[in-house]
Amino acid sequence: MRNNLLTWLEFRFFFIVWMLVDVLWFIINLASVGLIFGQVQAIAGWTRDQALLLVAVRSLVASFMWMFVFPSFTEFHNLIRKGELDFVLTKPVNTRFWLSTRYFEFDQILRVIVLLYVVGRFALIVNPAISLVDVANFTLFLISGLVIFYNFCFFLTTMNIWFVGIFNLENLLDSVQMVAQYPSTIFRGALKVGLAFFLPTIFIAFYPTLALLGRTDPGMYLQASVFIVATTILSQRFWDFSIRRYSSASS
Amino acid sequence: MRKLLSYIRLAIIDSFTYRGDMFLWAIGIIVQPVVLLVVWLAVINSGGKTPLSREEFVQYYIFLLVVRLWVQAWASQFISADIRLGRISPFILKPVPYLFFQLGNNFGGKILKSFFMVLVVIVLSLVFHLRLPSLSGLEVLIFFVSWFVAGIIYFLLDIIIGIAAFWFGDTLVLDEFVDTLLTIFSGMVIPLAAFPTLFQQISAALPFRYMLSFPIEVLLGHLTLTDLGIGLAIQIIWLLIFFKIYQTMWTRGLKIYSAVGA
Repeated sequence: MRNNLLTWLEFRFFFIVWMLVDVLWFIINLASVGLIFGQVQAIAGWTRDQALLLVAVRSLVASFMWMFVFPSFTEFHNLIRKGELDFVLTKPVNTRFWLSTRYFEFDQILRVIVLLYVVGRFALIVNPAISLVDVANFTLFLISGLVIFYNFCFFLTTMNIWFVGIFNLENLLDSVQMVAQYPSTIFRGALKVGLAFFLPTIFIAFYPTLALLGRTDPGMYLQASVFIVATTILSQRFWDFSIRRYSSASS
Repeated sequence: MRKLLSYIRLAIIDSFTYRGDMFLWAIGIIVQPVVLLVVWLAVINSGGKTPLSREEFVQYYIFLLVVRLWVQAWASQFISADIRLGRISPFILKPVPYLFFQLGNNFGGKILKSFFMVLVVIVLSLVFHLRLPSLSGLEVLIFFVSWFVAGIIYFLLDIIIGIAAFWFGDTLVLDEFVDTLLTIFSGMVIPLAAFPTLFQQISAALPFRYMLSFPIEVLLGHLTLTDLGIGLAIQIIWLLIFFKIYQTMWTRGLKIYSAVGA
Protein backbone atom coordinates (compact mmCIF):
# COMPACT_ATOMS: atom_id res chain seq x y z
CA MET A 1 0.00 0.00 0.00
CA ARG A 2 2.74 2.45 0.95
CA ASN A 3 4.48 1.91 -2.36
CA ASN A 4 1.35 2.96 -4.16
CA LEU A 5 1.13 6.20 -2.19
CA LEU A 6 4.76 7.07 -2.91
CA THR A 7 4.32 6.47 -6.59
CA TRP A 8 1.31 8.69 -6.42
CA LEU A 9 3.32 11.55 -4.98
CA GLU A 10 5.82 11.28 -7.80
CA PHE A 11 3.24 11.79 -10.42
CA ARG A 12 1.78 14.90 -8.85
CA PHE A 13 2.15 16.86 -12.02
CA PHE A 14 0.36 14.42 -14.25
CA PHE A 15 -2.19 14.10 -11.52
CA ILE A 16 -3.08 17.77 -11.76
CA VAL A 17 -3.31 17.65 -15.52
CA TRP A 18 -5.46 14.54 -15.49
CA MET A 19 -7.64 16.12 -12.83
CA LEU A 20 -8.32 19.10 -15.04
CA VAL A 21 -9.16 16.81 -17.95
CA ASP A 22 -11.45 14.92 -15.59
CA VAL A 23 -13.33 18.03 -14.53
CA LEU A 24 -13.68 19.00 -18.17
CA TRP A 25 -15.14 15.60 -19.01
CA PHE A 26 -17.58 15.75 -16.15
CA ILE A 27 -18.82 19.15 -17.25
CA ILE A 28 -19.08 17.92 -20.83
CA ASN A 29 -21.13 14.90 -19.76
CA LEU A 30 -23.49 17.06 -17.75
CA ALA A 31 -23.74 19.60 -20.56
CA SER A 32 -24.49 16.87 -23.11
CA VAL A 33 -27.39 15.60 -21.05
CA GLY A 34 -28.64 19.13 -20.61
CA LEU A 35 -28.31 19.71 -24.34
CA ILE A 36 -30.18 16.56 -25.25
CA PHE A 37 -33.00 17.26 -22.85
CA GLY A 38 -33.43 20.76 -24.23
CA GLN A 39 -36.92 21.85 -23.34
CA VAL A 40 -38.36 18.40 -22.81
CA GLN A 41 -39.87 17.70 -19.41
CA ALA A 42 -38.98 14.04 -19.24
CA ILE A 43 -37.47 11.30 -21.36
CA ALA A 44 -38.61 7.72 -20.70
CA GLY A 45 -39.87 8.73 -17.30
CA TRP A 46 -36.76 10.64 -16.25
CA THR A 47 -36.55 14.40 -15.79
CA ARG A 48 -33.48 16.40 -16.63
CA ASP A 49 -32.40 16.77 -13.01
CA GLN A 50 -32.77 13.06 -12.43
CA ALA A 51 -30.71 12.39 -15.53
CA LEU A 52 -28.01 14.77 -14.29
CA LEU A 53 -27.96 12.88 -11.00
CA LEU A 54 -27.46 9.69 -12.99
CA VAL A 55 -24.46 11.24 -14.76
CA ALA A 56 -22.96 12.26 -11.42
CA VAL A 57 -23.51 8.82 -9.91
CA ARG A 58 -21.92 7.17 -12.90
CA SER A 59 -18.87 9.43 -12.59
CA LEU A 60 -18.62 8.55 -8.93
CA VAL A 61 -18.76 4.84 -9.70
CA ALA A 62 -16.15 5.34 -12.41
CA SER A 63 -13.85 6.84 -9.77
CA PHE A 64 -14.21 3.74 -7.65
CA MET A 65 -13.49 1.63 -10.68
CA TRP A 66 -10.36 3.63 -11.37
CA MET A 67 -9.27 3.17 -7.79
CA PHE A 68 -9.92 -0.50 -7.30
CA VAL A 69 -10.69 -2.26 -10.55
CA PHE A 70 -8.80 -0.88 -13.53
CA PRO A 71 -5.23 -0.77 -12.24
CA SER A 72 -5.25 -4.47 -11.45
CA PHE A 73 -6.68 -5.35 -14.80
CA THR A 74 -4.14 -3.33 -16.72
CA GLU A 75 -1.44 -5.26 -14.91
CA PHE A 76 -3.27 -8.55 -15.38
CA HIS A 77 -3.67 -7.79 -19.07
CA ASN A 78 0.04 -7.07 -19.45
CA LEU A 79 1.05 -10.18 -17.55
CA ILE A 80 -0.92 -12.37 -19.91
CA ARG A 81 0.28 -10.59 -23.01
CA LYS A 82 3.89 -10.86 -21.97
CA GLY A 83 3.41 -14.47 -21.04
CA GLU A 84 4.47 -13.86 -17.45
CA LEU A 85 1.39 -15.43 -15.95
CA ASP A 86 3.39 -18.52 -14.94
CA PHE A 87 5.30 -16.51 -12.39
CA VAL A 88 2.06 -15.42 -10.80
CA LEU A 89 0.46 -18.85 -10.89
CA THR A 90 3.19 -20.31 -8.72
CA LYS A 91 2.52 -17.94 -5.86
CA PRO A 92 0.97 -19.55 -2.79
CA VAL A 93 -1.75 -16.89 -2.54
CA ASN A 94 -4.95 -17.43 -4.50
CA THR A 95 -4.06 -16.07 -7.93
CA ARG A 96 -7.25 -14.19 -8.53
CA PHE A 97 -7.06 -12.42 -5.19
CA TRP A 98 -3.41 -11.53 -5.73
CA LEU A 99 -4.07 -10.15 -9.19
CA SER A 100 -6.97 -8.10 -8.01
CA THR A 101 -5.60 -6.44 -4.93
CA ARG A 102 -2.04 -5.60 -5.82
CA TYR A 103 -2.67 -2.28 -7.46
CA PHE A 104 -4.90 0.36 -6.00
CA GLU A 105 -4.51 3.92 -7.14
CA PHE A 106 -5.40 6.72 -4.82
CA ASP A 107 -5.13 9.71 -7.09
CA GLN A 108 -8.87 9.39 -7.42
CA ILE A 109 -9.51 10.21 -3.75
CA LEU A 110 -10.00 13.88 -4.39
CA ARG A 111 -12.34 13.15 -7.26
CA VAL A 112 -14.33 10.76 -5.10
CA ILE A 113 -14.76 13.35 -2.37
CA VAL A 114 -15.86 16.03 -4.81
CA LEU A 115 -18.25 13.70 -6.60
CA LEU A 116 -19.73 12.46 -3.34
CA TYR A 117 -20.50 16.06 -2.54
CA VAL A 118 -21.99 16.68 -6.00
CA VAL A 119 -24.06 13.50 -5.86
CA GLY A 120 -25.24 14.45 -2.39
CA ARG A 121 -26.32 17.92 -3.47
CA PHE A 122 -28.05 16.70 -6.65
CA ALA A 123 -29.79 13.93 -4.71
CA LEU A 124 -31.17 16.39 -2.17
CA ILE A 125 -32.46 18.64 -4.95
CA VAL A 126 -34.09 15.82 -6.85
CA ASN A 127 -35.38 13.87 -3.87
CA PRO A 128 -35.76 16.23 -0.90
CA ALA A 129 -37.42 13.46 1.08
CA ILE A 130 -34.34 11.25 0.79
CA SER A 131 -33.98 8.92 3.77
CA LEU A 132 -31.19 6.92 5.35
CA VAL A 133 -32.80 3.81 3.91
CA ASP A 134 -32.36 5.31 0.45
CA VAL A 135 -28.71 6.00 1.16
CA ALA A 136 -28.26 2.48 2.47
CA ASN A 137 -29.88 1.08 -0.67
CA PHE A 138 -27.66 3.32 -2.73
CA THR A 139 -24.55 1.94 -1.07
CA LEU A 140 -25.83 -1.58 -1.54
CA PHE A 141 -26.49 -1.19 -5.25
CA LEU A 142 -23.26 0.73 -5.71
CA ILE A 143 -21.27 -2.13 -4.29
CA SER A 144 -23.26 -4.72 -6.23
CA GLY A 145 -22.64 -2.75 -9.42
CA LEU A 146 -18.92 -2.64 -8.72
CA VAL A 147 -18.78 -6.38 -8.02
CA ILE A 148 -20.72 -7.26 -11.18
CA PHE A 149 -18.60 -4.93 -13.28
CA TYR A 150 -15.45 -6.34 -11.71
CA ASN A 151 -16.52 -9.87 -12.67
CA PHE A 152 -17.32 -8.61 -16.15
CA CYS A 153 -13.82 -7.11 -16.47
CA PHE A 154 -12.27 -10.26 -15.11
CA PHE A 155 -14.08 -12.34 -17.69
CA LEU A 156 -13.00 -10.06 -20.52
CA THR A 157 -9.39 -9.86 -19.38
CA THR A 158 -9.23 -13.65 -19.14
CA MET A 159 -9.98 -13.65 -22.85
CA ASN A 160 -6.39 -12.49 -23.34
CA ILE A 161 -5.36 -16.05 -22.66
CA TRP A 162 -7.34 -17.16 -25.69
CA PHE A 163 -6.90 -14.35 -28.15
CA VAL A 164 -3.68 -12.73 -29.21
CA GLY A 165 -3.36 -8.99 -28.73
CA ILE A 166 -6.56 -7.54 -27.39
CA PHE A 167 -6.23 -3.78 -27.68
CA ASN A 168 -9.81 -2.74 -27.73
CA LEU A 169 -10.77 -3.77 -24.23
CA GLU A 170 -10.47 -0.17 -23.15
CA ASN A 171 -12.82 0.95 -25.92
CA LEU A 172 -15.41 -1.59 -24.88
CA LEU A 173 -15.21 -0.63 -21.23
CA ASP A 174 -15.47 3.04 -22.20
CA SER A 175 -18.62 2.21 -24.12
CA VAL A 176 -20.06 0.36 -21.15
CA GLN A 177 -19.42 3.42 -18.99
CA MET A 178 -20.96 5.64 -21.61
CA VAL A 179 -24.17 3.63 -21.81
CA ALA A 180 -24.37 3.50 -18.02
CA GLN A 181 -24.98 7.23 -17.81
CA TYR A 182 -28.28 7.11 -19.68
CA PRO A 183 -31.48 5.88 -18.03
CA SER A 184 -31.93 2.23 -18.97
CA THR A 185 -35.64 2.92 -19.43
CA ILE A 186 -34.93 4.24 -22.91
CA PHE A 187 -34.12 0.74 -24.10
CA ARG A 188 -36.67 -1.81 -25.19
CA GLY A 189 -36.56 -5.49 -25.99
CA ALA A 190 -33.40 -6.96 -27.41
CA LEU A 191 -31.56 -3.69 -27.05
CA LYS A 192 -32.43 -3.59 -23.36
CA VAL A 193 -31.22 -7.14 -22.80
CA GLY A 194 -28.05 -6.43 -24.72
CA LEU A 195 -27.14 -3.03 -23.38
CA ALA A 196 -28.52 -3.18 -19.87
CA PHE A 197 -27.85 -6.74 -18.85
CA PHE A 198 -25.35 -8.34 -21.20
CA LEU A 199 -23.04 -5.36 -20.80
CA PRO A 200 -24.10 -4.93 -17.20
CA THR A 201 -24.65 -1.20 -17.50
CA ILE A 202 -27.93 -1.20 -15.59
CA PHE A 203 -26.19 -2.15 -12.35
CA ILE A 204 -23.38 0.36 -12.58
CA ALA A 205 -25.26 3.61 -12.13
CA PHE A 206 -28.94 3.19 -12.95
CA TYR A 207 -29.95 1.04 -9.99
CA PRO A 208 -27.89 3.04 -7.44
CA THR A 209 -29.54 6.21 -8.76
CA LEU A 210 -32.99 4.67 -8.49
CA ALA A 211 -32.13 3.98 -4.87
CA LEU A 212 -31.29 7.64 -4.27
CA LEU A 213 -34.61 8.57 -5.83
CA GLY A 214 -36.36 6.16 -3.50
CA ARG A 215 -37.66 4.18 -6.46
CA THR A 216 -36.34 0.71 -5.70
CA ASP A 217 -38.47 -2.38 -6.12
CA PRO A 218 -37.91 -6.00 -5.03
CA GLY A 219 -37.12 -7.06 -8.60
CA MET A 220 -33.96 -4.97 -8.53
CA TYR A 221 -32.59 -6.73 -5.47
CA LEU A 222 -33.34 -10.09 -7.03
CA GLN A 223 -31.69 -9.19 -10.31
CA ALA A 224 -28.62 -7.78 -8.60
CA SER A 225 -28.24 -10.89 -6.43
CA VAL A 226 -28.65 -13.24 -9.36
CA PHE A 227 -26.14 -11.30 -11.39
CA ILE A 228 -23.58 -11.15 -8.59
CA VAL A 229 -23.74 -14.88 -8.11
CA ALA A 230 -23.92 -15.70 -11.81
CA THR A 231 -21.08 -13.41 -12.87
CA THR A 232 -18.86 -14.58 -10.02
CA ILE A 233 -19.37 -18.22 -10.92
CA LEU A 234 -19.03 -17.63 -14.66
CA SER A 235 -15.88 -15.55 -14.42
CA GLN A 236 -14.30 -17.99 -11.96
CA ARG A 237 -15.17 -21.01 -14.11
CA PHE A 238 -13.86 -19.32 -17.23
CA TRP A 239 -10.66 -18.36 -15.38
CA ASP A 240 -10.11 -21.90 -14.05
CA PHE A 241 -10.80 -23.39 -17.45
CA SER A 242 -8.49 -20.94 -19.18
CA ILE A 243 -5.67 -21.43 -16.70
CA ARG A 244 -5.87 -25.19 -17.12
CA ARG A 245 -5.57 -24.79 -20.88
CA TYR A 246 -2.82 -22.20 -20.49
CA SER A 247 -0.79 -24.41 -18.16
CA SER A 248 -1.13 -27.45 -20.36
CA ALA A 249 -0.11 -25.40 -23.37
CA SER A 250 3.07 -24.05 -21.85
CA SER A 251 4.29 -27.23 -20.12
CA MET B 1 4.15 1.82 -54.13
CA ARG B 2 4.63 -1.94 -53.99
CA LYS B 3 5.89 -1.52 -50.45
CA LEU B 4 2.67 0.24 -49.54
CA LEU B 5 0.59 -2.58 -50.98
CA SER B 6 2.56 -5.20 -49.10
CA TYR B 7 2.11 -3.24 -45.87
CA ILE B 8 -1.62 -3.19 -46.55
CA ARG B 9 -1.63 -6.92 -47.17
CA LEU B 10 0.25 -7.54 -43.94
CA ALA B 11 -2.24 -5.45 -42.03
CA ILE B 12 -5.14 -7.41 -43.50
CA ILE B 13 -3.56 -10.70 -42.47
CA ASP B 14 -2.88 -9.25 -39.03
CA SER B 15 -6.49 -8.28 -38.59
CA PHE B 16 -7.49 -11.91 -39.05
CA THR B 17 -5.13 -12.88 -36.27
CA TYR B 18 -6.61 -10.34 -33.92
CA ARG B 19 -10.10 -11.82 -34.18
CA GLY B 20 -10.95 -11.55 -30.51
CA ASP B 21 -9.91 -7.95 -30.52
CA MET B 22 -12.11 -7.29 -33.50
CA PHE B 23 -15.15 -8.63 -31.68
CA LEU B 24 -14.51 -6.29 -28.77
CA TRP B 25 -13.86 -3.43 -31.16
CA ALA B 26 -17.12 -4.15 -32.94
CA ILE B 27 -19.21 -3.97 -29.79
CA GLY B 28 -17.41 -0.88 -28.58
CA ILE B 29 -17.74 1.05 -31.81
CA ILE B 30 -21.42 0.35 -32.37
CA VAL B 31 -22.69 0.92 -28.87
CA GLN B 32 -22.14 4.66 -28.64
CA PRO B 33 -23.95 5.81 -31.80
CA VAL B 34 -26.79 3.33 -31.27
CA VAL B 35 -27.34 4.41 -27.68
CA LEU B 36 -27.26 8.08 -28.60
CA LEU B 37 -29.67 7.49 -31.44
CA VAL B 38 -32.02 5.74 -29.02
CA VAL B 39 -31.70 8.64 -26.59
CA TRP B 40 -32.56 11.21 -29.27
CA LEU B 41 -35.49 9.11 -30.47
CA ALA B 42 -36.70 8.95 -26.88
CA VAL B 43 -36.57 12.75 -26.76
CA ILE B 44 -38.63 12.94 -29.94
CA ASN B 45 -41.08 10.38 -28.58
CA SER B 46 -41.46 12.48 -25.45
CA GLY B 47 -42.58 15.34 -27.66
CA GLY B 48 -39.36 17.33 -27.48
CA LYS B 49 -38.13 19.70 -30.14
CA THR B 50 -34.90 18.48 -31.67
CA PRO B 51 -32.44 20.08 -34.10
CA LEU B 52 -32.75 17.14 -36.47
CA SER B 53 -35.82 15.14 -37.41
CA ARG B 54 -36.21 11.46 -36.54
CA GLU B 55 -35.20 10.49 -40.07
CA GLU B 56 -32.17 12.73 -39.93
CA PHE B 57 -30.98 11.36 -36.60
CA VAL B 58 -31.20 7.81 -37.94
CA GLN B 59 -29.28 8.87 -41.02
CA TYR B 60 -26.71 10.78 -38.99
CA TYR B 61 -25.76 8.00 -36.60
CA ILE B 62 -25.74 5.22 -39.17
CA PHE B 63 -23.65 7.28 -41.59
CA LEU B 64 -21.43 8.18 -38.64
CA LEU B 65 -20.50 4.53 -38.18
CA VAL B 66 -19.34 4.16 -41.75
CA VAL B 67 -17.66 7.54 -42.14
CA ARG B 68 -15.89 7.25 -38.81
CA LEU B 69 -14.52 3.81 -39.60
CA TRP B 70 -12.69 5.06 -42.66
CA VAL B 71 -11.38 8.34 -41.30
CA GLN B 72 -9.97 6.94 -38.09
CA ALA B 73 -6.30 6.65 -37.27
CA TRP B 74 -4.85 4.97 -34.22
CA ALA B 75 -1.10 4.93 -34.65
CA SER B 76 0.00 7.83 -32.47
CA GLN B 77 0.85 5.81 -29.36
CA PHE B 78 2.63 3.17 -31.43
CA ILE B 79 4.62 5.87 -33.18
CA SER B 80 5.56 7.45 -29.84
CA ALA B 81 6.71 4.08 -28.59
CA ASP B 82 8.74 3.50 -31.75
CA ILE B 83 10.50 6.80 -31.24
CA ARG B 84 11.09 6.30 -27.52
CA LEU B 85 12.43 2.80 -28.01
CA GLY B 86 14.66 3.73 -30.91
CA ARG B 87 12.79 1.69 -33.49
CA ILE B 88 12.75 4.64 -35.87
CA SER B 89 16.49 4.25 -36.57
CA PRO B 90 16.17 2.20 -39.75
CA PHE B 91 13.87 4.86 -41.16
CA ILE B 92 16.04 7.92 -40.59
CA LEU B 93 17.56 7.95 -44.04
CA LYS B 94 14.34 6.88 -45.75
CA PRO B 95 11.40 8.37 -43.84
CA VAL B 96 8.85 7.62 -46.54
CA PRO B 97 8.72 3.85 -45.86
CA TYR B 98 7.77 4.53 -42.24
CA LEU B 99 4.91 6.72 -43.35
CA PHE B 100 3.90 4.04 -45.82
CA PHE B 101 4.05 1.44 -43.09
CA GLN B 102 1.65 3.45 -40.95
CA LEU B 103 -0.57 4.18 -43.92
CA GLY B 104 -0.64 0.54 -44.95
CA ASN B 105 -1.37 -0.52 -41.41
CA ASN B 106 -4.20 1.98 -41.18
CA PHE B 107 -5.73 1.04 -44.52
CA GLY B 108 -5.34 -2.69 -44.15
CA GLY B 109 -6.83 -2.69 -40.69
CA LYS B 110 -10.00 -1.15 -42.03
CA ILE B 111 -10.66 -3.70 -44.78
CA LEU B 112 -11.85 -6.54 -42.57
CA LYS B 113 -13.70 -4.14 -40.31
CA SER B 114 -15.55 -2.83 -43.35
CA PHE B 115 -17.04 -6.21 -44.19
CA PHE B 116 -18.32 -6.42 -40.69
CA MET B 117 -19.57 -2.84 -40.76
CA VAL B 118 -21.65 -3.53 -43.87
CA LEU B 119 -23.54 -6.20 -41.93
CA VAL B 120 -24.03 -3.89 -38.98
CA VAL B 121 -25.31 -1.07 -41.18
CA ILE B 122 -27.80 -3.36 -42.90
CA VAL B 123 -29.17 -4.56 -39.56
CA LEU B 124 -29.38 -1.05 -38.13
CA SER B 125 -30.98 0.30 -41.32
CA LEU B 126 -33.72 -2.28 -40.99
CA VAL B 127 -34.21 -1.84 -37.27
CA PHE B 128 -34.41 1.94 -37.42
CA HIS B 129 -36.02 2.20 -40.87
CA LEU B 130 -33.26 4.20 -42.50
CA ARG B 131 -34.38 6.39 -45.36
CA LEU B 132 -31.57 7.38 -47.69
CA PRO B 133 -31.42 11.08 -48.52
CA SER B 134 -31.74 12.01 -52.18
CA LEU B 135 -28.50 13.52 -53.33
CA SER B 136 -27.38 14.99 -56.62
CA GLY B 137 -24.44 13.45 -58.41
CA LEU B 138 -22.35 16.44 -57.48
CA GLU B 139 -23.19 16.06 -53.79
CA VAL B 140 -22.21 12.41 -53.88
CA LEU B 141 -18.92 13.30 -55.51
CA ILE B 142 -18.23 16.02 -52.97
CA PHE B 143 -19.03 13.54 -50.23
CA PHE B 144 -16.40 11.09 -51.39
CA VAL B 145 -13.84 13.83 -51.79
CA SER B 146 -14.57 15.30 -48.35
CA TRP B 147 -14.49 11.82 -46.81
CA PHE B 148 -11.11 11.14 -48.33
CA VAL B 149 -9.67 14.49 -47.24
CA ALA B 150 -11.11 14.03 -43.75
CA GLY B 151 -9.25 10.73 -43.49
CA ILE B 152 -5.98 12.31 -44.50
CA ILE B 153 -6.38 15.15 -42.00
CA TYR B 154 -7.14 12.61 -39.27
CA PHE B 155 -4.12 10.54 -40.26
CA LEU B 156 -1.79 13.54 -40.28
CA LEU B 157 -2.98 14.78 -36.90
CA ASP B 158 -2.48 11.30 -35.52
CA ILE B 159 1.10 11.22 -36.81
CA ILE B 160 1.79 14.69 -35.48
CA ILE B 161 0.80 13.62 -31.99
CA GLY B 162 2.90 10.52 -32.39
CA ILE B 163 6.04 12.31 -33.46
CA ALA B 164 5.68 14.84 -30.65
CA ALA B 165 7.52 12.05 -28.87
CA PHE B 166 10.72 13.47 -30.35
CA TRP B 167 10.27 16.28 -27.80
CA PHE B 168 7.99 14.93 -25.09
CA GLY B 169 8.68 11.66 -23.34
CA ASP B 170 5.04 10.94 -22.81
CA THR B 171 2.57 11.96 -25.49
CA LEU B 172 -0.38 10.32 -23.81
CA VAL B 173 -1.61 13.54 -22.22
CA LEU B 174 -1.47 15.35 -25.55
CA ASP B 175 -3.25 12.43 -27.19
CA GLU B 176 -6.02 12.40 -24.60
CA PHE B 177 -6.42 16.15 -24.81
CA VAL B 178 -6.79 16.15 -28.59
CA ASP B 179 -9.08 13.14 -28.29
CA THR B 180 -11.30 15.10 -25.92
CA LEU B 181 -11.51 18.04 -28.32
CA LEU B 182 -12.18 15.63 -31.13
CA THR B 183 -15.00 13.95 -29.25
CA ILE B 184 -16.71 17.25 -28.58
CA PHE B 185 -16.12 19.17 -31.78
CA SER B 186 -16.22 16.48 -34.44
CA GLY B 187 -19.85 15.56 -33.93
CA MET B 188 -18.85 12.09 -32.83
CA VAL B 189 -21.30 12.01 -29.95
CA ILE B 190 -23.81 14.77 -30.61
CA PRO B 191 -24.41 16.32 -34.04
CA LEU B 192 -22.91 19.78 -34.25
CA ALA B 193 -26.30 21.08 -35.36
CA ALA B 194 -27.53 20.44 -31.81
CA PHE B 195 -24.98 22.78 -30.29
CA PRO B 196 -25.68 26.39 -29.33
CA THR B 197 -24.66 28.83 -32.05
CA LEU B 198 -21.48 29.92 -30.31
CA PHE B 199 -20.20 26.38 -30.14
CA GLN B 200 -21.12 25.78 -33.75
CA GLN B 201 -19.03 28.78 -34.69
CA ILE B 202 -16.11 27.49 -32.62
CA SER B 203 -16.49 24.09 -34.28
CA ALA B 204 -16.36 25.69 -37.70
CA ALA B 205 -13.02 27.27 -36.83
CA LEU B 206 -11.44 24.08 -35.50
CA PRO B 207 -10.19 21.21 -37.67
CA PHE B 208 -12.26 18.52 -35.94
CA ARG B 209 -15.49 19.20 -37.75
CA TYR B 210 -13.68 18.61 -41.02
CA MET B 211 -12.39 15.27 -39.81
CA LEU B 212 -15.78 13.70 -39.30
CA SER B 213 -18.88 15.87 -39.17
CA PHE B 214 -18.47 17.64 -42.50
CA PRO B 215 -18.61 14.50 -44.71
CA ILE B 216 -21.68 13.37 -42.77
CA GLU B 217 -23.30 16.77 -43.21
CA VAL B 218 -22.67 16.53 -46.94
CA LEU B 219 -24.32 13.14 -46.98
CA LEU B 220 -27.39 14.39 -45.14
CA GLY B 221 -27.98 16.60 -48.14
CA HIS B 222 -28.97 19.85 -46.46
CA LEU B 223 -25.92 21.90 -47.31
CA THR B 224 -26.14 24.52 -50.03
CA LEU B 225 -23.62 24.62 -52.83
CA THR B 226 -21.92 27.55 -51.12
CA ASP B 227 -21.67 25.66 -47.85
CA LEU B 228 -20.23 22.68 -49.66
CA GLY B 229 -17.66 24.83 -51.42
CA ILE B 230 -16.58 26.65 -48.29
CA GLY B 231 -16.45 23.44 -46.30
CA LEU B 232 -14.27 21.71 -48.86
CA ALA B 233 -11.98 24.72 -49.07
CA ILE B 234 -11.51 24.81 -45.30
CA GLN B 235 -10.84 21.07 -45.32
CA ILE B 236 -8.08 21.49 -47.84
CA ILE B 237 -6.61 24.39 -45.89
CA TRP B 238 -6.43 22.26 -42.75
CA LEU B 239 -4.92 19.46 -44.78
CA LEU B 240 -2.13 21.73 -45.95
CA ILE B 241 -1.58 23.15 -42.46
CA PHE B 242 -1.26 19.71 -40.90
CA PHE B 243 0.96 18.48 -43.68
CA LYS B 244 3.30 21.42 -43.17
CA ILE B 245 3.36 20.84 -39.41
CA TYR B 246 4.06 17.16 -39.93
CA GLN B 247 6.89 17.84 -42.38
CA THR B 248 8.53 20.41 -40.10
CA MET B 249 8.21 18.26 -37.00
CA TRP B 250 9.54 15.17 -38.73
CA THR B 251 12.68 16.85 -40.10
CA ARG B 252 13.40 18.72 -36.87
CA GLY B 253 12.57 15.68 -34.80
CA LEU B 254 14.89 13.42 -36.75
CA LYS B 255 17.75 15.88 -36.25
CA ILE B 256 17.26 15.74 -32.49
CA TYR B 257 16.90 11.98 -32.61
CA SER B 258 20.07 11.46 -34.65
CA ALA B 259 22.04 13.90 -32.50
CA VAL B 260 21.14 11.94 -29.41
CA GLY B 261 22.00 8.67 -31.07
CA ALA B 262 25.47 9.77 -32.22
